[in-house]
Amino acid sequence: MVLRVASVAFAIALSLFLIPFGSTFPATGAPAPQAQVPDRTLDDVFAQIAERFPGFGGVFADPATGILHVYLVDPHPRTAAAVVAALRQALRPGSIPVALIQPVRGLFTFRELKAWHDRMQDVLALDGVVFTDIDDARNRLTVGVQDFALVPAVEGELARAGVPREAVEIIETEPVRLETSLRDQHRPLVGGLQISFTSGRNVFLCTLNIVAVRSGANGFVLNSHCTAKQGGVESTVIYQEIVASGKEVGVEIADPQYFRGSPCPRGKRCRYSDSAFAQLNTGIGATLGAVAKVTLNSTAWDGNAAFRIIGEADPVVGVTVGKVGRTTGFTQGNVQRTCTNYGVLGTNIVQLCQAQAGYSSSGGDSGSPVFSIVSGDDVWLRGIHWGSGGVFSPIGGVQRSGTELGPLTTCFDGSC
Amino acid sequence: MHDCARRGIGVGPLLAAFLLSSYLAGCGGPARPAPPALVLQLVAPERVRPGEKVVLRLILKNVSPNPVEARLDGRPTHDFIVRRPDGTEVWRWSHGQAVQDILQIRVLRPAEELAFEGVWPQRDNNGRPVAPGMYRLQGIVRLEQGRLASAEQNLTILP
Repeated sequence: MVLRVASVAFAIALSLFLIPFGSTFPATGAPAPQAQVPDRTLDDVFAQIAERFPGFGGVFADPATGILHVYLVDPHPRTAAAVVAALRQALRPGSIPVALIQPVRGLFTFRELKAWHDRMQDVLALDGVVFTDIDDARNRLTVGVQDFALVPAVEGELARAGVPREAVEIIETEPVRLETSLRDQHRPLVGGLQISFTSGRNVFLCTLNIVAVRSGANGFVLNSHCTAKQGGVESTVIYQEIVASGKEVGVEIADPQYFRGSPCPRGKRCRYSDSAFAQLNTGIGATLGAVAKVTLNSTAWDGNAAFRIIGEADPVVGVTVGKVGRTTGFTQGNVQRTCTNYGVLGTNIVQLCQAQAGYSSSGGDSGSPVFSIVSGDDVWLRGIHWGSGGVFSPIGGVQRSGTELGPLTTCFDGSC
Repeated sequence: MHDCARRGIGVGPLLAAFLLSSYLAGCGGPARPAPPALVLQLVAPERVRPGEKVVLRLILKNVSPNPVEARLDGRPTHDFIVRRPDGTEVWRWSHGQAVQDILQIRVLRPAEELAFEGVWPQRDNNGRPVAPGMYRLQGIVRLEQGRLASAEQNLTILP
């Protein structure tokens, strides 16, 4: 199947005439004046050429030989050259490569293929049909399906449309998916996705840490500074991915106040973690113990691949950790400091007993799950990222009782 | 904490349409001119007495006729740098402290300003008092796609 898909994709690419060629054909090598074709598809242009040359059945370039093949019902070199010249005039300069021209006998004219293709548009309405195409490299119509089990349904639709079966090739292919990222809307929720909230006129973007259970409530962990007020519950509404109606996913229900007094430095307010907990809204799906798995230094995510949290661990100097965040994606580095007190610039806040690692991050990565890969996709959760330079709150600090969130269930199977 | 490698150049799709003012400093090559939509101005005294706190004020202003979406990288999003005339860094407001990695989206109306403040206690990054003389001041605002820096301004600490 892979080979077949590849060959079709190749043929489609060829039909767009994007492949440069080194060969020359003196009779038709002169540059043509630029044509204005802004509102027509390539098929429309071919159909127009087919009006002038009724036997024309399509054209494609062979990258292996550099030869331009022109399908003609009655192949003749002079007609082929005239077709190519007409195409050069009708298309943008450079669309048709300068190359040797080879007429090839075709069974169907492009006018026939175009008419049949227009009539079979409802084939794409069948679930599992990926594409329909006038295949210029094969002088046929092509229907791509996800599964050959769909062939009878496609054939039925072709028959209803009056399209001869022998003019159609049905191939198996992968569905076309839009490339999505951590910044897009995803359900169920997992760690690493973009979340947002408002405060006054401002919109803020952060990253969902992990889906978790706290005191029987299903929800997710996020940074305390990713709520309307750092420290204290003000029922901040959390959205995924952007602030918009219908994208609400949770409401802040836990965000312990910052405390004063020992061991907090004089004049400062302290906590052992920058963490809060939001309860899931009714009907919002979320996957316990899952973190979006993206490739290194990427934010592209297919909505499925996931790291699986199988345990929790404290950060130790020298251990490699990674984080997944909406801005810089999956980045890794070694733990460089543990149990370090950090002042937060521009505030009187001190985060006690934090860790710091050498992974990169940027604005919007706040809340990123920090973890170590144990084996394959299995990871140990180590904390929640909050600060520039790879500063994060260890998971042990997040789950302290009293001043922090207390015990959480974070593992995929509920075992931790 | 704020090296260029860490910040990278993550282009925000919306803000990218607007860029920016003054110049984008550091982080990936020479300064490059940009259309004047946002301008950054540093307001600071020209002379101070030894030991006197130097109040620094940074103003980010939308000078375009249209609303501009600013994606402010980190909280706080701004920073101040003091250098000697030869360019050696003496003090940086953010030195030794962490910045929260949040991303703030703020739409500035035409002529609207955002103001950021800081104080230089006339000490270096190690906390030692600095000597009288000439210093160069600069303010920075971090945006999702890079840093916006003010023009440098001279400051003289009187003998």
